[in-house]
Amino acid sequence: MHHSIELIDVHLRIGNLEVLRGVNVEAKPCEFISIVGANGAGKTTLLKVVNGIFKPFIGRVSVLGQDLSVCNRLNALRRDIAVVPQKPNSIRFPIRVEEAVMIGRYGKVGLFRKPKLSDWEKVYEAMEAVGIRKFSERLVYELSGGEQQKIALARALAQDPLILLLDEPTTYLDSESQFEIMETIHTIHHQRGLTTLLVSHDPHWVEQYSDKVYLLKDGKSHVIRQKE
Amino acid sequence: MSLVQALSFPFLQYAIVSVLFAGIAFPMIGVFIISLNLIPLRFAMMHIALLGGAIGLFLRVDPIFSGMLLCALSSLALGPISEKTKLGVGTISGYFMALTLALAFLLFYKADIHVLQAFNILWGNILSLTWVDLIFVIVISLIILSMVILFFKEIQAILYDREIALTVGIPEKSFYFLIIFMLGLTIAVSMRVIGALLVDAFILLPAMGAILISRSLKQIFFFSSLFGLISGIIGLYLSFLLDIPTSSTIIIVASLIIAVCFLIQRRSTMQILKNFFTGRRISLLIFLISWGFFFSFPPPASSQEVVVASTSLAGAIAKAAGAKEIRVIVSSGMRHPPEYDLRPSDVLKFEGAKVVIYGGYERMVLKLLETSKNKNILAMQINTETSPENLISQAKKISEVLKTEKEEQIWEKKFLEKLKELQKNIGPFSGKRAVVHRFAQPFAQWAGLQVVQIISPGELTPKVIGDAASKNPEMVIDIYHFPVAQVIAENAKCKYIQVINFPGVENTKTLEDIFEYNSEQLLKVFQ
Repeated sequence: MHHSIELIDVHLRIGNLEVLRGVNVEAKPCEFISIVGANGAGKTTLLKVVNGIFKPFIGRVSVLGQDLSVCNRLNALRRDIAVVPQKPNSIRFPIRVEEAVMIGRYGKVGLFRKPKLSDWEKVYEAMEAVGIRKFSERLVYELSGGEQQKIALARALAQDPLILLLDEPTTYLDSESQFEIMETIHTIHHQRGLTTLLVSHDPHWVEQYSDKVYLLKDGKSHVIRQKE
Repeated sequence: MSLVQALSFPFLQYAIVSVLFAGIAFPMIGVFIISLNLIPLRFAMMHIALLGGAIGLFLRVDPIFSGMLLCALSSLALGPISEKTKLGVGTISGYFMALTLALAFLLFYKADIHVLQAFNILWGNILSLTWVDLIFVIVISLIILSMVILFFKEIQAILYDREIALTVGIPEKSFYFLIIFMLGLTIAVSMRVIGALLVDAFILLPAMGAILISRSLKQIFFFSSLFGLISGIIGLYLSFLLDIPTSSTIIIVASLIIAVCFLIQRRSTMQILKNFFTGRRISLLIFLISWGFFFSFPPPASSQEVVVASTSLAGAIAKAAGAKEIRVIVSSGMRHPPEYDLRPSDVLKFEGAKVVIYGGYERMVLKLLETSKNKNILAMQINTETSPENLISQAKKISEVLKTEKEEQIWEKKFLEKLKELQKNIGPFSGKRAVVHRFAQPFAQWAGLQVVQIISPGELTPKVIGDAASKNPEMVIDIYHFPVAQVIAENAKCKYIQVINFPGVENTKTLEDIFEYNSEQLLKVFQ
């Protein structure tokens, strides 16, 4: 059985700076992996490598059994990888919550096609799972930061992914909302059998949820905790 | 002539059809521009078109074609360049805007291109559409509409967040580049066809209003098209009714719509509309609108000797030639032709006219001729240089066509007498050293000044300013309609005068008035 995510000796340069200098990360299907490190350690960059946005100059990245350096169907692969970004985007036009969640389905719906009833069902299911169903008709920017972060999570779930990439999803939230969101993520991870890669700057916070915790320091990865 | 009668004219038919298409489709482009924060793109396209035009004039190919070609290529390149440099398209547009403007001015300077001629490339007006222009508007509108309908969800995702669009598996880059290309192309083509002024009205204003009152992207697209259509139709209608400049009227209507949107914002828009449009109010509105269709403004009097003149100078020369009835299009001289906004009656001036007289640098005359119903009109290009000899020879040429040689001879005699009298007054200045704007050269020569340096109408260079100032001029003679040389007068510490070539300033009307006004300027500064 292949690993869902496998990074072997990954080196990445952004401009003249070598951000990653030999990173090894592996996540088996249904595993919850956390990556911790200080600000600027390259955690978000690492997620972008997994998503195929950044390409390493040395090393191998394999996602869902596909080697990204030779993969010519990246867009198709990305439809199975959902991303929850660090902070809610700045919204430039009014959009209802349900529409914002539906965006997660657009890749799978495909070009020239309209979302079907089954797509809407997945959207409502996702909103239900993160507890924002009651806001579905509201405009996104009428909601609080925590609620907007839940929209991002619902969008990721609506995508019906195999892999979930979470980029410090609780940074801008108060401690109560942080706990609530992490619990929701953990539950969904188990219910749906997802492979989850969580990035955080706080090792203590993620320990309890993770099967394996990596520390990213000076561009290198170190396993600092592994469940038996 | 009433609106119903005027509907038989191609210019009005074309204007209505283009308002229907552009009014619906162009505001959608505005939604992209506002959502992606790309307002600098519009200015970049304008200057890229100018550079393209300058290259065309330099290489002696059609400047409009080269302008559009450069715009299309640039909008193809803008997306990838902004991606590579990690600077947004808005910022890169600023770079393109500055660079192309600088290159255009260098080219004007080096190739000695008439700046007015180059700026003319940018002139367009909804009342002067040819059928080719109309096809352009229709095709571009249909492409925009199909793009928005076919790729609505991809567009929604990209406008929402480009990175999210990418992560859900949409080919985000290709779509983003397509959007930028379409924006650039639409701005460039429509600017040329319907004019820079109206491009802003059609593209930006309805989208602004729609964003204020909508609750979803679909509503934004719908309301922006609705507002574009309403402002286009009402603007065109009012402009005809009141005979006021069309583009400006459309802009005023669109701005009023925004003001209303601002007031109601998202507070149950439909309820407010329902409350406002009661049965009685609708009947009153229909009555007022239909009254307008039969409201007439005086038709242009038709006789065999009507002469249409492109500018006040062409009009003054025609008057000298003995023309009885002269209809001037741009009455006070063209300071910046791309901004000249036509009124419906400007277009109707061609009807029943025998001759149109123009200087060759007014693209609008050729376009209006093409759209005019009057196919018997004779287009006469004249040399508009303002030396007495040339003015007399041009007046003679026109009088031969109009068969008014006698009138011309009478004028010529009076004109020469007047000039002699004026020359007496300015006699004491004869031989004075003068730095002269090229367009003011005929006056300087007539006044007997010693021209020590001629200044080109393009941008001044430090060397030109230094050279001119070092020649110890006693005066600098600049052009009122296109002044550039005041800095030379300041550096040389000498007198500074602005003279005119187009009548219209301070009640000047005739060719004699031009010389009188200019002589007075000379007398005034030395008093």
